[in-house]
This record gives sequence, structure tokens and C-alpha cells, in this order.
Amino acid sequence: MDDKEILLDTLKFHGHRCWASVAGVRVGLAALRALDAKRSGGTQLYAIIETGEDHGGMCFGDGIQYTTGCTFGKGNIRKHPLGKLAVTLIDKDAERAVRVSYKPTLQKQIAESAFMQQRAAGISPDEIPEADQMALLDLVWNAPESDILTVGAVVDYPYNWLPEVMGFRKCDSCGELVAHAYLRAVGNQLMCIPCSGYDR
Amino acid sequence: MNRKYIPPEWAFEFHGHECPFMPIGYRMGKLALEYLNAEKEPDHGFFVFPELGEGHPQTCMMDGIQIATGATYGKVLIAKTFYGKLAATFYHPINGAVRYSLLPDFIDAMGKFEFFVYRKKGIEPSQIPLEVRREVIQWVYDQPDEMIFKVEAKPDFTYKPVKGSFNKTRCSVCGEYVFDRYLRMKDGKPVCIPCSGYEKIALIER
Repeated sequence: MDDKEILLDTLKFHGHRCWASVAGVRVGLAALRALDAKRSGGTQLYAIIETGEDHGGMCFGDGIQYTTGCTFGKGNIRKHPLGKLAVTLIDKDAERAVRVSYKPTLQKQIAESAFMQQRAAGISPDEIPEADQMALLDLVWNAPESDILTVGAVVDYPYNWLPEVMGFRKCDSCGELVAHAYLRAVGNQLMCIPCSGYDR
Repeated sequence: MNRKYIPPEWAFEFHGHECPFMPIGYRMGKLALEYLNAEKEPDHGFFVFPELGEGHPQTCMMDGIQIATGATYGKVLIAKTFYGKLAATFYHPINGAVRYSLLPDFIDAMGKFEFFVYRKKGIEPSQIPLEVRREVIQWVYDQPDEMIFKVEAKPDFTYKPVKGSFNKTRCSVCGEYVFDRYLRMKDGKPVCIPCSGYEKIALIER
């Protein structure tokens, strides 16, 4: 699959076209190249993204998910919420990692774009005319990599990964399934965290 | 009525040095108890949430608060919010809650004392000449409550401490006792958190 196809598939998955998800695709693809790794079908890759909560540009994370295969559902991605557009991608088998961040170069142009002017006026991304969507998308997509990305050095990243703890058990109180690592002991019973009354 | 609330000698002994902030916290604690019509807490029924953090000065207030109210670290009745503010909310489950904070004008006036010239040079309180320390402490004692504290009722504040249990179990790996609240299950056996490997980052409560 060529890169442009990956971009279009990402945007389909993401739900709308925006600059931050394109930035995420660029960063994700650059991180894969730096590690000489392929999109993670299993959990051999692990991503730590630096976007936070409730700020613009969080769409970045979907670009990372789609390109790297580090997904919320597989659990091989987590946020280290610093409010930054960067990812550390880790190849668990090779014990190597790279941090790639998105540079501020285009921010003035992005802010002045027809797309962002409409976003600032409270119009949601999918209601903005397609031509404006595409213009912003192309701005980020066509920029030379060295202008918009900082690809860090590939570093050793040995880590004691916890193997998946398989299996579920019924909570003795509510009867719902609970993964073994999340069972709590209350007297002679094993319960889920809410039923146990414990806080973690 | 004398409302200066000067700490007893043993309070300074416990705290370790003479400084103005332990007495300010002591007075804050005494006033909060009085406001809430509560006694110094002998057991586990009074809670304090200081808004101080770490890596900044004047946290000594919290020792004064503990001494005055009996809401101590050991009884798990005091917990910081890490807002980096010179304030605390005092909570009595029946009588309600009140927030005390230090007035900025008071802090600014106190900051002019020589004591802080030494402190800003990084000199520890116990190394500052005693007369320099006592000068600022006496000045604090002489200020009326309303010059020091802002007082706010917190009618909506509520806090529910966790339910306690005496049950404990020996970890099947290291053999040490763990209170059941912190027990984990691994391969069908009870283990402590470090032996489980489930939590990679130790939770450090300061």
C-alpha cells in the first residue's frame, strides 16, 4: 500500500479530514521507517503518544494508530499527556525505540487556512467545504519531511514487558467477567474493583 | 479571649526547628477546629486537605496543622492536593467544612523579615540565628487572625474515607503479609503488588 492510500484510509477511519490526523500519519510513517519496522498486526510495536486531553490536535493520535497498528483496542498504545504532537514508537522484539515530533513550521499557514478560520468560527470539520479540507490536508502532506518532523535517534529500549495475563473469572458479587489481574479479594470472595469498594 | 494559639514547646520539639510556618499552621488548625465546633481528633474522624505541594517553601504549616487538629499523616487523615497554595480545607463529617488560606498581604508583609533573606540564600531554618527567627515568629503571634487568614465556608465539600478492614493474607511468592485491599491474584494465587508485576510504576504518596 502506498503512503497516500494509507493517508486516505486513515482519514476514512478517523471520520473527518484535518491537519492533525495528517501530521499523525506523517509522524507514524516516519517512526516506522526509522525503526525499519512494519505496521503492528499484533503487539510487537508499542506507542507512547504525547497528546493530552481536551485540546486541539488530538486527532494526531488516530494518524498514529492507523499507521503503526498500535491501537486502543490492542492496548499497545498509551498517552503520556504532555499536550505535544509526538510519539515514541517502541519495537519490543528489537528493543529499540525512536521519538518523532511534529515541528511548528506550518502553524502560521495552518492557522490562516480557510479550514481553520471556519473551525475557529465553530464549524465542525465535516461541514467545511471539501476543497478547503483538501487544501489543508495537502499543505501538511506535501511538506518536506525535514521541514515538519524531528526524527530522533534510534535508541536501545530494553523493558520488562508484562506478558498478557490470560483469562477471566466471574465477579462473586455482580457476576460480570473480570480479567484475572483486576480481581480483588474481599473476605473469601473475588470481586471486580467497583464491587470490592477498593479504589484500585 | 486569647485566640493567638501559640504552639506548646513539644510542638517545636516534634517539628524540629523554630520557624514561623509551623505556628501559622497550628493557629490555622486551632481556628478551623473552633469554627467547626470540633475537638482535636483522637481517632479517625477529622480530615484536612492542605493545598501545598512539594519543591516549595512554607510546607512546615502542615506540621502545625497536624499538631493542632490531630489529623495526622499516620492516621491517614491529612492529604495534599498539590496546588502549591498556602491553604487547607478542614472537614468534619457532621459539622461540615471550612477552607482557610493565608492572605497575600500577610505573606508579603512577612516576606520582608530578615528570616527570609537567610532562607532565600538556601540557609536551613535551624542554621538561622535564633533572634532572627524569633523576631518573625513574634510578629506572627502579634497579628490578629483577620490579618492572616481568609475563611470560607465550604457547605458542599464532602469526603468519604475508604472502608477499613483488618484482613491480611500472606503473599504466595514472598511470604510477607499484605492487607487484602492490596492483594492481587496471579495464577490463581494471592500475591502482593510487587510480586504480581501488575503495576510497573510504584505509587509514591508524599
